[in-house]
Amino acid sequence: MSHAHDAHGEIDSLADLRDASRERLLTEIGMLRQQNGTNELAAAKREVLASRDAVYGMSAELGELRARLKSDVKNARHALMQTPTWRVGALVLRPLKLAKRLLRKK
Amino acid sequence: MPRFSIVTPVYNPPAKALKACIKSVRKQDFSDWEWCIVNDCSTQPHVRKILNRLAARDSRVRVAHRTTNGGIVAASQDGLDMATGEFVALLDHDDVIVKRALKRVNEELKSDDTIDYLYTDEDKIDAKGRHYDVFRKPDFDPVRLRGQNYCCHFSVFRNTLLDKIGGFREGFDGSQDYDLILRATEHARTVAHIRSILYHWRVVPGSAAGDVHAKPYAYDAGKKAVESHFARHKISINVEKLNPGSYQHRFVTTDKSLLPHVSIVIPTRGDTSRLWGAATCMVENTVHNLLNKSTYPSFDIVIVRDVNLDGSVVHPFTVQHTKGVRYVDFPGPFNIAAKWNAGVLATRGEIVVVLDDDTQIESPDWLEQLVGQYQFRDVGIVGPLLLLADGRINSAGLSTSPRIRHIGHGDSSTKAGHMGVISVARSAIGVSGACMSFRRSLFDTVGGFSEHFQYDNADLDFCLKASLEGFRSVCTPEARVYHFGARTRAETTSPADEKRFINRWGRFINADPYAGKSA
Repeated sequence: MSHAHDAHGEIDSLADLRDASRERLLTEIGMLRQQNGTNELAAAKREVLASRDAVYGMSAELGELRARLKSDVKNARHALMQTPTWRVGALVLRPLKLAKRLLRKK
Repeated sequence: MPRFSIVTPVYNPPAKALKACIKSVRKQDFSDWEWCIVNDCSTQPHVRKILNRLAARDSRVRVAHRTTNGGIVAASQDGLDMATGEFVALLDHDDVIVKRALKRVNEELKSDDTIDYLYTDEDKIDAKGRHYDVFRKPDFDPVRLRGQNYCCHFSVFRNTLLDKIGGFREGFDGSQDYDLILRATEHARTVAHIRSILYHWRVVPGSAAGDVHAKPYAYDAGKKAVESHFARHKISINVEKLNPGSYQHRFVTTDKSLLPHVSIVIPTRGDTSRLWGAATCMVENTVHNLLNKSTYPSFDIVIVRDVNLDGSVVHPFTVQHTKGVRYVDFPGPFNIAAKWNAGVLATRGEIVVVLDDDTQIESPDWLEQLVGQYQFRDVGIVGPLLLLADGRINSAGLSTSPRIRHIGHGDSSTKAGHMGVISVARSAIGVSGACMSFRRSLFDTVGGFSEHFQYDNADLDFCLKASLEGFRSVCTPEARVYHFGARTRAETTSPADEKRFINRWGRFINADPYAGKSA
């Protein structure tokens, strides 16, 4: 059945287009505009969602990098304090520290 | 003004236990404290003798001897009235605090001036001094606190907060601390948790620690405390006692017209599978079950079905024809987050539920129970207890400790779990996307489900994004849903999704704030 003869059907071939009345064509144009508008709106909504997700994602990744940096600094500090140089230095300075503490108390 | 006032009501403790308690306080690393001891007219002569000797030896100890036995509430309140310290710590007459307890608490309080209430982990100690029942607690969880007094020992309150809420209340004997903690946390600016066992709860014959049936009146008082808490929030509730110390609360709807509209989104391919021995189109079964069993007055269903590029449905199926069922066609490659997003964008409900097509509700009022949780403003996401086909637990929420996993997976759903964790509604770091409800406004704010996660972790990512906005995720056992296609998370993990998840939220792996041994 040709869609051109169906008042509610879609025009889907050149033959239909040639035979369609002006009124029929206007209806079809209206339908297509509406459909396109709906699709555009849905696409825009999805884009808004994706953009917001990207913002939250970046914020989360930044938080993650900060946490990793903090952890790395902590580990590096711990490793440094385990080195012989640091330990010897701490041992040498211990009497000085004690003296300083005593002087402060007095 | 001392930093701490330790408040201890005393009534006939064994001499050995009382001496151990005294020793633990006097040996503290931190010295800026006073001890307010109220002897509630003990009949055993050794009590008065020990306490008087202690007061004579240490000027920081103040002892009051009541002339009549007033019970635990009256004695505790007398202790509070004596307290002049900035913070009040509650200590039972036969329990023990560790040597560093007050020092550690003081450090925590110094780190944040807004802490008004603080609690620590605890364990139990028997007559022979052996430690057991270690309770590693979650960080502050008001949802779980509504079901059980998990904070309990060692509790430290800002004294001005206690003045504000009026201290202990008559009529809550045995659960007076639970009532106090509930009221204190309603007003506290910040509640802190120290993840360290600083308190040993002694088990002696007749104590609630050793025999949960020793003080039945305490559980009646606990029920009353929970009812009172909900009444203050003007929420209609039906509270029942579960296993001792835990309380079930079911939301009661007096006017169903006030309930928000709920939209249920079901992504599906229309697959058929064997269900309890019979070949069943899963989505048909799910929708039929929803429409015929749910008692919720106002909901609609959006089915997101897979379609081929020419628009034909991949696996045609037929669902009960009603006005409340709509379809959204999804032509793209599989991406569960994209399917959820497409479905949610087509909804009109204030609350949205995403539901797998291989599910079946067990509780007819499942939606009422999920939606009821939203009466608390900080609740953004609520999930039910998910069951496997054989009735065992599929998921009681998600945890990231020690790895991403379903809490309670494979455990019996009739048991309460460690420290009753499964039996009460509580917060979790996330809930499973197999059945997850959320506020539609929250979905819009955080940008929906991240489509970067094609197979896994979009649900957990969504929950963590919600937490950035200050919303918590809750799992409630009052709503129960079967999830037939459920497999363990490890079997379905996608390495790419896992990598993306680590990039965003790696800091939570093995650091779940709600996990301890209890989860």
